[in-house]
Amino acid sequence: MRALVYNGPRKVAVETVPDATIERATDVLVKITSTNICGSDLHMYEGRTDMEPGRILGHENLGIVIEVGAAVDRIKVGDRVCLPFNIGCGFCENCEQGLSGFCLTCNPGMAGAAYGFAGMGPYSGGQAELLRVPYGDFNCLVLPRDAEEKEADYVMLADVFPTGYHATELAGVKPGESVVIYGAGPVGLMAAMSSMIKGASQVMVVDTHKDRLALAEKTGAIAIDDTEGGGVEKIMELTGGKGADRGCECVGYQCCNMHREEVPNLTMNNLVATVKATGRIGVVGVFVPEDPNAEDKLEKRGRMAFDFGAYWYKGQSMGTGQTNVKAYDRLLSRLIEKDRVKPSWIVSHQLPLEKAPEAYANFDERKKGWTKVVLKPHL
Amino acid sequence: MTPTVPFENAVDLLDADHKAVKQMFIEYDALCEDAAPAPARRTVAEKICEAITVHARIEEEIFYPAVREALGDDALMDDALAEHAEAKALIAEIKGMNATSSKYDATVRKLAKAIDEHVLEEREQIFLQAMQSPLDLRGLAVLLYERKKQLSMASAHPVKEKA
Repeated sequence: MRALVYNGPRKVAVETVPDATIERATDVLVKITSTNICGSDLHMYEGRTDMEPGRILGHENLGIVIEVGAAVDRIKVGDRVCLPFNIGCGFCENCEQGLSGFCLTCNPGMAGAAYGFAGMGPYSGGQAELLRVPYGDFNCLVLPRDAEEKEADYVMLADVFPTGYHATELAGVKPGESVVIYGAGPVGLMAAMSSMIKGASQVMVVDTHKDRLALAEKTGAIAIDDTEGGGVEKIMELTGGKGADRGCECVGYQCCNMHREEVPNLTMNNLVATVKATGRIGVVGVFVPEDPNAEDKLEKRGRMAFDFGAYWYKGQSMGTGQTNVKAYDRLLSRLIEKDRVKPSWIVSHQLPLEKAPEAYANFDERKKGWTKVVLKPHL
Repeated sequence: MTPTVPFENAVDLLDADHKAVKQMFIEYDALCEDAAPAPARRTVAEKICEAITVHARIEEEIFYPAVREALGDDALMDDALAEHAEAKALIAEIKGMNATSSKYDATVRKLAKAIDEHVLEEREQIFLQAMQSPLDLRGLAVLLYERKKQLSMASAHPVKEKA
């Protein structure tokens, strides 16, 4: 099969590799019809992880089931399925609690497994013609009947839509509240959309990319361009000097200042500054326990200079970590089925798999207009 | 009486060692960056070497033979043993070196890299397959725990071990 292979920092290629197959009786084999490039793929692309060369990337996958293992009951050949990026077993202590992003079975020693991701188990990614899905009965979301026609919407259920929604859950967003969201990338945009669904009275999205801020405005959010600085002041002004009720971090450790220099504590400290006293912050941007290739001494050790004094003084609280996609994807799929949301509004490019290397390069440079790429292996 | 073993299974026990060693390597890196004096660096390096030595021994005596039998994958287990041998050679090098040596930090970091790679493979290959096999990982945890206690006590009182 053809697949996008990671060959080292900024080196990816579409190569012919052995077909994915059913390896265990609980597996499902999926022919991938849509697979996205995610911002977190770029951490690996840029060589900022210990991803081994030769592995297939891609954890936002959707396709058609073409084979099921002997121990699979629920999933049938022909089902159109979206695959949560987390791989869970469904029966460990964490999966039992709905915390499938922290499955204890699928990646022993570490909490959480995923397709084609550094440190998240030996599983191949789905930027390929075929994908092996472990514990298929648990890890497939069978899509509604309009799956084919709304494929670009449903593929967002693999990661970015649930992740953006999770940010608002971690932050505890309730109807009528104001929300400040750092990052207008796909996840931040989904957090903005989720806040609107939840009935937030005021949603502010901060970024430095004008094309992405324009997309944020389409959700009804207020776009705050921080290119020239002054973002904090604008938010304080908009919230009458109090700060937002809730805050979402949708950027992560590679966040940059206006000069495109990495400042890992920038968004976190801005959130402490712009969320009201007693407010809550949800952090879904990726932060890592060590980053040997970082410039900053603290960052190397997975640390940051955090404004803990202000955070404590304001009595704020925080929720962190990767999304448990399974906890949300079924319900969020109904919002798409009933035309309440159209998450495909963030898609900028739908390309054949063969174009993946150039798509990675453009997305990595944050080239204007490259917001979200959907790869189509069978186009 | 059944001893109280806090670890649910062998994988939890062995991986707790991995995490503890990782933390010590991060601590060592921090000492290097802060240009800490040789004795401080040596103390941490020796703790690392000790922890890895005990860990490798209980794996080789108890865990690996059991997994080899359960999986029947000799290549996989031989590979793991070769990685242990590499780590042991580096440990011997570190132990025979003066911490003021210009090569000391580089050798500890070489060990860190070797251990990182070994741990990743062990988690993604050996642990995962062992968990999917009929192997009694809960029972093995008790044996590993007891042997580890024995070895740790022996290394805390090296004179007694010699006698």
